[in-house]
Amino acid sequence: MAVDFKQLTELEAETIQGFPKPAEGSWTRNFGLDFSPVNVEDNYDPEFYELEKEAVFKRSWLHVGRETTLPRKGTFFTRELDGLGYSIIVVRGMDDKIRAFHNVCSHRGNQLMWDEHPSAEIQGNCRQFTCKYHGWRYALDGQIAYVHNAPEFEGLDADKLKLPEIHCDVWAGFVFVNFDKTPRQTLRDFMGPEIVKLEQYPFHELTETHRLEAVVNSNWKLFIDAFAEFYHVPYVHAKLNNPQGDPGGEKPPFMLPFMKAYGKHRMLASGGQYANTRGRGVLPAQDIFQATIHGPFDPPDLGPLGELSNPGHLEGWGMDMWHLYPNFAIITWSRNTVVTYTYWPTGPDSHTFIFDYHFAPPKNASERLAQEMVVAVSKDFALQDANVLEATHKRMKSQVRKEFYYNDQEVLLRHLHHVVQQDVEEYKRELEARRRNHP
Amino acid sequence: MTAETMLPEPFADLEVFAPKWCLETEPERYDVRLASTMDELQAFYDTALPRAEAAMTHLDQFDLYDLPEKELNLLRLMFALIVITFPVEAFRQPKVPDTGSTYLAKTIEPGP
Repeated sequence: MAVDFKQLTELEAETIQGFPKPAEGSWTRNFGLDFSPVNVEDNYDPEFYELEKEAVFKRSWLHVGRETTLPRKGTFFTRELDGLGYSIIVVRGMDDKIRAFHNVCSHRGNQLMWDEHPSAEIQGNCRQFTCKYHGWRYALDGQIAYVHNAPEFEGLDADKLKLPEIHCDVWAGFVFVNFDKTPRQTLRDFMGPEIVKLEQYPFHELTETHRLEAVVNSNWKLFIDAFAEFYHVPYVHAKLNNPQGDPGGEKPPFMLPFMKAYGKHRMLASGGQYANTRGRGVLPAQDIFQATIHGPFDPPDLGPLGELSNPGHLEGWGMDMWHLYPNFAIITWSRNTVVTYTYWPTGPDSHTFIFDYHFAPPKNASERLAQEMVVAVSKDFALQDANVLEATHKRMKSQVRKEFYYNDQEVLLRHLHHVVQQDVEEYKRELEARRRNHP
Repeated sequence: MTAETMLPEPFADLEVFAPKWCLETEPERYDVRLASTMDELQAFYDTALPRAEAAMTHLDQFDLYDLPEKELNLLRLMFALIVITFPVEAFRQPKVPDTGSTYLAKTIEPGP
């Protein structure tokens, strides 16, 4: 006889109080979705991955860095987007405009900007881009500026030698590119009328940056999934949450009080330092250095956080996590720190994860140490999140089971995969129509 | 005879940990954490954590971006203490449990 797993324990029943569902009865229906099992082939199927690159990554605005990384004319950085087959240069020109170019010399195709290792990203300051191979030079607006021993060529046309430019725009201090020939939407339209208001947040005050990076052996979407629900927290992070707790003991569930879809984008809000307190213990060092994963105890005053902050109007508001389609997340903590996650596929089975922390510049050693504690704590948490991904990816790929069950707390994952699958389906229909019209 | 010290005089009790832990970057500190025994981490934690508040009070008297050499070493010792607190307070081992295939490399860290 099957065990009755649907019965809530006393602890569960008590902990889930105070998390009302929206009018539709569930977050899942509020998102316009249902509870049917989810097909996960989009996480490992090589054919799906090839379509996804075109349908999702080459038609969306993609976050590549922060405007503050390009403070002066001539400052630039490169991004190695191996999964898409591209390397790009993002630069602030002599006219102060930020532009993006394919990082390819027009002469013989050498990668234009790199040092030591072609696949290592670089940043710096220059007046022109100079190719290491034969010395061709380009102005910061991409125009050809110098061809070494030019009379040896015949028929060179300056217009054709310009660096291939990529559509580039800045929103909320974040730089985005779009690889479409003609973007289907402006960056602001892509964000939509609500999300665009996030630019009111004082991101520009947070210039103290820490970055963690990893190559993770899972599909890029699986790491987004991992951070898109907090259902995992009592188990994956059991020790970090509650070191004094009984390791084999029952754990109170972690509930999210608010989630919302914004077109292809989505968000969740949580109580941060006010959430899940039943399942959390005090760590002595965090008390002394005055910081936890939720931020420093004594955060700087940033003034108003903008009208989109805390859209669920939560009383004990701790954080908003904005999942911007397809591969970028911005977390605004109520302790006035911002985290961003960017996920770049490097193949169907792997991706690069970029984890940035942004603080207000510390005024003294105590503030610097509190920020270091926030990042150190977050790193060990994130290591736990990352490690289940390889285990999940490998077993999904084995196709022993092709459908999985996502609960109401996991609606953000369901939404991500739904939107990606929809975009790929639409792209397939376009390809089919093109084939019919041009057999 | 007094040997050359690395830390400010009031923190002579932490001097024994300075050669190993006063490291410039987070990747170096994390590597030393992983290469240490729990006895070593516990000894560092037990001695240094009760001194952390005094260290912060001392360091806060200086300009963070113009720290004298010994104060900079003390700050780095506190960074190292931060890196080893989870092993001592939560995991009872240097490495995060169940993270055999995972790493996170710190590729941008601010000064000092």
